[in-house]
Amino acid sequence: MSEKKKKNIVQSILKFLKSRNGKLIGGTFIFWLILYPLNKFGVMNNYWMHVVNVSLIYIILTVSLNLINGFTGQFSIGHMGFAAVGAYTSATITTLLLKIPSHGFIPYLIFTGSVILGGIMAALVGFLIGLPTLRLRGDYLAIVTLAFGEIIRVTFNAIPFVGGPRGIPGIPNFSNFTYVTIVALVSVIIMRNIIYSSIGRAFLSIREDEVASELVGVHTTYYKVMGFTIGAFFAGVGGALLAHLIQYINPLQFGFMATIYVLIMVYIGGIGSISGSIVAAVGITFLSEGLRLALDRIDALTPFHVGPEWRMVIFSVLLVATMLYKTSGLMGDKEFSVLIPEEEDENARHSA
Amino acid sequence: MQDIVLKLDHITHYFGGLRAVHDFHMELPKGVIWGLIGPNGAGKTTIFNLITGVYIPTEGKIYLRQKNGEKFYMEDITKYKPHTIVAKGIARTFQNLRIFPNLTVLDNIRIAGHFRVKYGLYDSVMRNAKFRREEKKIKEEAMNLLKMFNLHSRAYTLAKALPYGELRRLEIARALATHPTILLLDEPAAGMNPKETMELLEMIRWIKKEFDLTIFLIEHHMKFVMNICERIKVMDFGETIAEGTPDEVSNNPRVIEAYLGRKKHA
Repeated sequence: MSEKKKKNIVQSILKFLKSRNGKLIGGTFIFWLILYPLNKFGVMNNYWMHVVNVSLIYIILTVSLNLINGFTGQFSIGHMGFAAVGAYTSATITTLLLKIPSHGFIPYLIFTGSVILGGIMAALVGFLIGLPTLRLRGDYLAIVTLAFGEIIRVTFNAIPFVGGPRGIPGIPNFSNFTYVTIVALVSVIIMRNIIYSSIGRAFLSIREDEVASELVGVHTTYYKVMGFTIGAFFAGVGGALLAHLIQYINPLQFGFMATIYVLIMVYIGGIGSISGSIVAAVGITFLSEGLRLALDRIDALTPFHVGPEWRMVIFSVLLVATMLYKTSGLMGDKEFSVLIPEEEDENARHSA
Repeated sequence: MQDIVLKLDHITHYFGGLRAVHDFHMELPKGVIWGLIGPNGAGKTTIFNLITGVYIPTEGKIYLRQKNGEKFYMEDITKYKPHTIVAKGIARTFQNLRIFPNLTVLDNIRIAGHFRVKYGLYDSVMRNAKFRREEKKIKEEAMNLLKMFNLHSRAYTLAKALPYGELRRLEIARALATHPTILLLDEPAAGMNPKETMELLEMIRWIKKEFDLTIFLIEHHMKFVMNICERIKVMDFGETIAEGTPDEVSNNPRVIEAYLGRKKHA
């Protein structure tokens, strides 16, 4: 290779790293580069690595719910139902297929396929639910998605093939740190690209004023269903990853409380902010684990009996406090600059 | 004979048992400015909602002129959804402003161009050449429009931060961003002082010429209507009580009665 060609390649790499996407991908790579060896050489134990992985998966779940609740302005409270569809689909595939011995990267290929299929199944279910309910305005979606979450739980409970109430045990551990980081990054980039496009603007206009939106030519039903389906897809992807991280799923994991957990992240992070969802997903996952330890300590040291179930009380207080003192959430509708595409720089709302 | 662009064929509309509009008939010729006046609750805004597809009339049909190659024909748009009717060329503003408050002025305009955007989900995820080309086009178009309405310096401010007069202009600009052939203005001068009203008058004349529009407007401000409209329809309790040039209408005893009440003989 000639000297000039080499120089050109180096220059284009440098140019990419200076761009927003370059910074985002480079930043994620540095994040990986710090944490991966820390875990490899035993500085950070597997337990905390697991928490990091969970928080990365919650980023996907929270941003996708934000796409529905924050950006499109609908109110879905059945998000973990879609995650359940994704989790069960992919876990069934991997547990069945990987009984056949295989080597190298082939299991990961199968796993990736199953994750995508999990997302597609969740999207399909989301589409079927969204189509009749999103034609209506108002709170119907909340009621239907609430019911849907329960229906999914009861359905998986009743199917012996997926273990009924026992769930699926022994799911292979595919969701390692590297894999989860990549999927989370790609999911966030995809959702960001959708939000910063004409389609994303159509979503926002529905949130702002549905009647006015329809009367400037936006096919509101179509875009509501589209937003809902995309959100469901990524919920399915998140659920599939979660199944292969915890290595065991049962219907109860995906109940109403699990959805509330994601909802709290969305509202504390800020409705209509990807950055807020990311911050809240990571922050609350770590807070949750930290509180588990802290509450155990309190339980041991004081005569009071406090179990980890008190965490939910603390989150509720946190949510109420957010609603009272910072209604728009931590980030409001602002974004970190690194998450805003260059061409939308002037138009977007930067965080201070 | 002028070309008819919009025809409301004996429209009647009921809200439950209440007859909001009765036997409303109108043939709107191309390139005119017509007005619709009447006391509060006369059914004026209902007429607009019927034309734009928000309501479907109980009886009667609505036709819009469409072009098919070289030929023009009247298309029945009675049962179309609002977004389809917008795409066919009817844009409107609202009596109580309905801008998108938490979006920037630029986004308000760009959303109105959304249905003409030619890229899909795949293109926006990939950010390919097609996406960038279309985005550039739509942004340039929006900026040009904002320049025409002297709002370009405000492009990146949130719409809710604009003063009332600029919001009115923004709403008209947003309606024009859908490339209409017919513009419906619902009380454009509401809440304006006399100076602003006169400026608005000039602006409406100007946009009509500039964008080759047919304008149909609702207004309470009598001086405004008499000044700008070539022909006026007067409604009261859903009925059309008078129709004609501003002079004819202002001298019509039924109109005076509807606006000022019956003269009492003491």
